[in-house]
Amino acid sequence: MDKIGTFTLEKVVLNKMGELAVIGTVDFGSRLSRLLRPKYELGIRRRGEQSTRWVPAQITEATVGRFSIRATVDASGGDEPAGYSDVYFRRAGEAAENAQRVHFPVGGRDWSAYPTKFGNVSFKRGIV
Amino acid sequence: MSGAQHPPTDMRYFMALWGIADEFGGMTTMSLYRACIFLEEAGIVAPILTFEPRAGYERQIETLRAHGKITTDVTVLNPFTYYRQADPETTGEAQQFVPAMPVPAGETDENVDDDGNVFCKTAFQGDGKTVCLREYLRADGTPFLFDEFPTDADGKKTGRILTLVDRRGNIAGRWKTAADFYRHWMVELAGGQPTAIIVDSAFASKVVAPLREADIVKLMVLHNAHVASGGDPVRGKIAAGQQPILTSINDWDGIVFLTDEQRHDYEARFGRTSNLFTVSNPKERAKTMPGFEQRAPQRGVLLGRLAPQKNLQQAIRVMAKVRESLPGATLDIYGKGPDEDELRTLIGSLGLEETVHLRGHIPHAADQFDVARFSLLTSRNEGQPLALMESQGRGCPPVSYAIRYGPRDIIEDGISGYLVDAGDTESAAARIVELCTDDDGAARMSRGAWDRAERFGKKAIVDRWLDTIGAVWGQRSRRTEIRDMRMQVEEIAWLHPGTLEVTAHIGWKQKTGPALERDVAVDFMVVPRSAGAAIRLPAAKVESSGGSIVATARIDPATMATDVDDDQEFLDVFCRVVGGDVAAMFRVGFPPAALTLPFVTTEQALSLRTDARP
Repeated sequence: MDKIGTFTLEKVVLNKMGELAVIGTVDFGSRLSRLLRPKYELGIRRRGEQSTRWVPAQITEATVGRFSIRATVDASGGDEPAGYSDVYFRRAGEAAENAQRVHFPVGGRDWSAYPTKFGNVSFKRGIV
Repeated sequence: MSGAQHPPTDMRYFMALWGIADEFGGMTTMSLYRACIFLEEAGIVAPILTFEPRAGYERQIETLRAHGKITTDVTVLNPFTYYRQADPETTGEAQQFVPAMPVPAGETDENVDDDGNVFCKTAFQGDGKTVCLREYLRADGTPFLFDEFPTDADGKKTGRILTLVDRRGNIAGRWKTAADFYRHWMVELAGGQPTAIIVDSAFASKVVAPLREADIVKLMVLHNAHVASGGDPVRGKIAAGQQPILTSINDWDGIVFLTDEQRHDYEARFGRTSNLFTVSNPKERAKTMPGFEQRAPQRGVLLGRLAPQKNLQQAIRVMAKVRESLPGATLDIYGKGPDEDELRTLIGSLGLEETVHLRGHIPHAADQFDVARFSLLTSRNEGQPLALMESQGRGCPPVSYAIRYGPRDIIEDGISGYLVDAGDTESAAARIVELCTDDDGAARMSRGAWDRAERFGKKAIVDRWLDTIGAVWGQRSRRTEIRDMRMQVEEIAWLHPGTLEVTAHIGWKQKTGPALERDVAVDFMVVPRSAGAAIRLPAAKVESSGGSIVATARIDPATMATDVDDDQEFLDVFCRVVGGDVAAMFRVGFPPAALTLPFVTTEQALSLRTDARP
């Protein structure tokens, strides 16, 4: 099996329906990967728990050496209890321990967006 | 406003107040005075409109005339007085008034007019407290208006019905709210002619704002600062009384500020629309300039209430500094108020008994400006301080804190007075010493003050009003009438933890005027939470159709907030919509359906936080 390739986060998009999309690119390991169109997954692992919920990621575009990837999760709460989750990426079928943690580069920024207690958009200095 | 358009020659003019109290303040004074000078300077009859339930104003008007508050030809009109005297016309088939529900037997309250005739009878529910009917009566005892509050079988109010009847008891009109009744009356007064209504009271604005007639233009005068307690113009809380006006300025053909500075502050925060104007209050200067030689060389005058807003503690501290170099300098303060004891204590503790004198309230206190060398104003905030205008108009150069609003519009620093930063007692004292010791400079500034006071004269202000009404009339066909403007965040994209791309949908219902979506601009405003200017980010329109726009902008504080002070830890985001005579501002929120939001860990990894369902 080819290497998984490296996932690079482009953006995280939240829409008014409460859907949260993780969008990025993955560089595929070989020409074979491109031809086979491998399946990718995004994993949400609640902190303090072992199991990971995997959602399929769509390949939205294939360009030279890279796939554009989009995976959507329900951010409207559903039956989820309050808490924190970490986000992983893997090729479908890979062992969970081989999944990559999705990086969210700060890019030298010294402000972070955060929700106020009324749910409004504000920024504060530093990493929240 | 030169080259201005003129109002139509057959235009009718009215000044609107909620009522006229027995003891009234500056706002009512100005409204009455404006009516007087419209007549005096332009031959325009502009009756005062009031809406409070009153049988008449005869005695009050006599008093007002006796005190010179209104001239003989200025009248006060009121819907209750009007219909009490007029026999309203009934149209169509006559229909007798029948009460919506029987009036319970029991005691009634009665209000009588100046002649002792019953004007209003109030009937109550069985509890003796809840009003079920107010019956308004003519002097001959026949009813002209029934104001009913019917209830259901459980005694719960089901609404309100106001019914106007003629002398035979036939229905001449019926409304569900008192405001609708008042608006019917105003339309009747306008008589189908071009009409301008200038509103001074925020309470009356609730009646006038929803009035929509093609030939009636409505102008609202903002007498006070729009931000509460002299707060920060960028982020301060809107003054409670002005909230309904400023959040629906589209209801008005003209919003009239007293000073350019306030208008500019308003525009910087909410956007520049076509219905914003400035017209100063009038203050006629002395016919001839009081002679400089009659001015006591080291005497100053301050007119103002002894109240926290006037910040007179600062005036006393300024005089303490003046006294260090000019021991003979004095300041006479005219006015009364709750701070008197505190101010006396301060004067005593600073040893200024011979320097600062609290003279109390005296009639014609402004005459003191004729004989003083300087005046002083240290207020925290003002709408437009008449004391400064009065001082200038009598050739007494003011030294004033450059507070919001008024001093910067009234004083040309160094020509017609001096402006110093608020709280800078040192500079204020230095300017006073200069005026008291430099005779030539003080005489020159006295002349400068009197010269420049001409622009606040009656003629100048009436001309400005007519130019404003002309402009408002000229653009009325382009007025955009909209309702229910709303903003909803469609999508928020995190490009980095601190960089967002926000896409917002703005929708509204439009009744008249050019299609707003063509002219409107959408900005995102990033506002440092406690101090500093807002940063404006123009948004790109990505979709536009009738009554709807989708706009997007990237918000990256790291690249745009270089002007944000280092001590500012938080930035808040607003969406501002401005075009034609429409301006609206919305706080930007995360999509309410989302309980899960992304965040970055210290290792720069993506994590999600899910909040508990509310």
